[in-house]
Amino acid sequence: MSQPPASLPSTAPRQLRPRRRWDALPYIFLAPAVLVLATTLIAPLFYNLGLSFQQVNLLEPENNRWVGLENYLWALRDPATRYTFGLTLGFTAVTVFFELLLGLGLALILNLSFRGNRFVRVLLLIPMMVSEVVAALSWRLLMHTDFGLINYLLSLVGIERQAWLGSSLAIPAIMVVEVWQHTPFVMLILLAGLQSLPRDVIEAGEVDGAGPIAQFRYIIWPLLTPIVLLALVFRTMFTLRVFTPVWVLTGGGPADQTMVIGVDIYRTAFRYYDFGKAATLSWILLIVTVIITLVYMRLLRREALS
Amino acid sequence: MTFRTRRTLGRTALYLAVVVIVIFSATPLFWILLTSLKPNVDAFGWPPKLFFTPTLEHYGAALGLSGDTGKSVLPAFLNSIVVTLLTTLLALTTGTLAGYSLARLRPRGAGSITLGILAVRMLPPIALVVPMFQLAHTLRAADTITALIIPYTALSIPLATWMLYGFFLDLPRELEEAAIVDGCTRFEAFWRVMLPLAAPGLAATAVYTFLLPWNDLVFSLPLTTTNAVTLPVIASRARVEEGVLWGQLGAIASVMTIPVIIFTFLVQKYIVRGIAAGAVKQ
Repeated sequence: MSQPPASLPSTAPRQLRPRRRWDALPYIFLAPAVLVLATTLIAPLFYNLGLSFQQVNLLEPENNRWVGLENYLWALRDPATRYTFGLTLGFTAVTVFFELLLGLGLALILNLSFRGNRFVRVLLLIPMMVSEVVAALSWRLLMHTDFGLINYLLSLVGIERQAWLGSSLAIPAIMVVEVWQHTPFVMLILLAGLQSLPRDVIEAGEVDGAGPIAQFRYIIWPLLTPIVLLALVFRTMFTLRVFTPVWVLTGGGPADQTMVIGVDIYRTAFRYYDFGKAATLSWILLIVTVIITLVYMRLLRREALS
Repeated sequence: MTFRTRRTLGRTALYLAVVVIVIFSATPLFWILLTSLKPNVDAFGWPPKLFFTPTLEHYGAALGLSGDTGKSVLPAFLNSIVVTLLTTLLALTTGTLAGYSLARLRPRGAGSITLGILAVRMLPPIALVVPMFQLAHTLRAADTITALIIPYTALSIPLATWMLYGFFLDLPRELEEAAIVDGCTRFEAFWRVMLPLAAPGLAATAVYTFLLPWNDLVFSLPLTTTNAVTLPVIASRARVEEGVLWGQLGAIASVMTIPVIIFTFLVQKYIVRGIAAGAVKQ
């Protein structure tokens, strides 16, 4: 009742801006941020695009030249690089799927009231806040072949020691670390979503006799879908560029089995000093990221319209 | 089954699930912290030990105070602190000005500029390492903390701007108008009235900004070799050596992690705003 009419705040900014002359203050305040972003992020990005059309190798600078789309054609044909693309996409799909599944489960559990709920919530956020280096190191210790806790616990039930990071188990092992560290992110936005759902709609469902499953299927899930899609976009984008956990856990090995695109960019640039190809891989990652974002945005809009 | 027993069963299942989740979530970090306090005999023992006489010897060895196990990590620790503080300061200053401008001064095209800044935040940092490396070498800044502070500041600005934009939007406009009516210039209204009011937001943003330079390996690994290395680089190098000193590595990991855990508890309220910046409506 004491609220001012809704039209007041929207007219207020115009009163702050003198109309007589061009006003510099907004632009002066904005300039440092825009300048830094333009010179430090946007310009290097396009410089990198230029590199991707050249052969630039620090080890044989005499061969540096423009090669047009040759680097991109190489990336699409080279078997090792194709494996890298496939691995990155597959790794992302599986990892994000489990993050969403577990994140949804956690959000539903934490949405119930129980003693210690607030404390548990913060505790569960810790993995996503710590350095990916620390996360990976902690798991390397747990997964250590000779004295790791995981092999010890498995030995109690009679399962033999496994070289988790030195065998074909390396890919699922890295997935576990990634899911452990980033599920809290999904949980957090889904929980925020759950708590913003209109109470009365859910209560109306209860009154009409909807059990917990029907309630989830017909009321909560449809309302939550945009937020699930959002979590999907964020996690997909961030998993496609995964570097640190793989670097610390396996370095791309054994025998390049875990060579995701992030590690491949690093290796191409700083092991082989092939900046042209590294720039090409960078731009492919960038293009895929943008495409996926646009597709999801479209899905999101359709969802919002229906 | 009566209503009461069903309820009790439900509660028990819930608490059981919560306990399992907490154990799974906490064990890795707890275990590496524990390892940093274990005497070497126990660290490599089989079966792994949960109870032992704790020691701080690994912390001393990591700092080069005792033992003959290698170089001190103290310079890297100091680099991490300086890079993190300067990045936070620069990004916060720039982000405050930009956020205030977009929220309150409304320059022409404010809406699309805000979206543009958000879009920049989605860029994959790994796609920028090659030009950053070349830039650092061209400017003869390779292996200096300057070469780290510049990209970290740039990468932190979008988040800082977005978070502060939200905080400024939430402040009551009437106070600002009153200050102007009372004869303040708009800059004074910003500096004397709005900025102090935004202090909690500034603090939360600072804590959030601190995470990138403190935790990151993507830029610190290629841009440093010896003089400017930060703690994540030191910690990640242990991969190369066989017979890793897990006690010392645990000590470094713990030093990196404990401030983060404290900050997580301090800013828990603002975490949603930080991670989903621009995506979830506040």
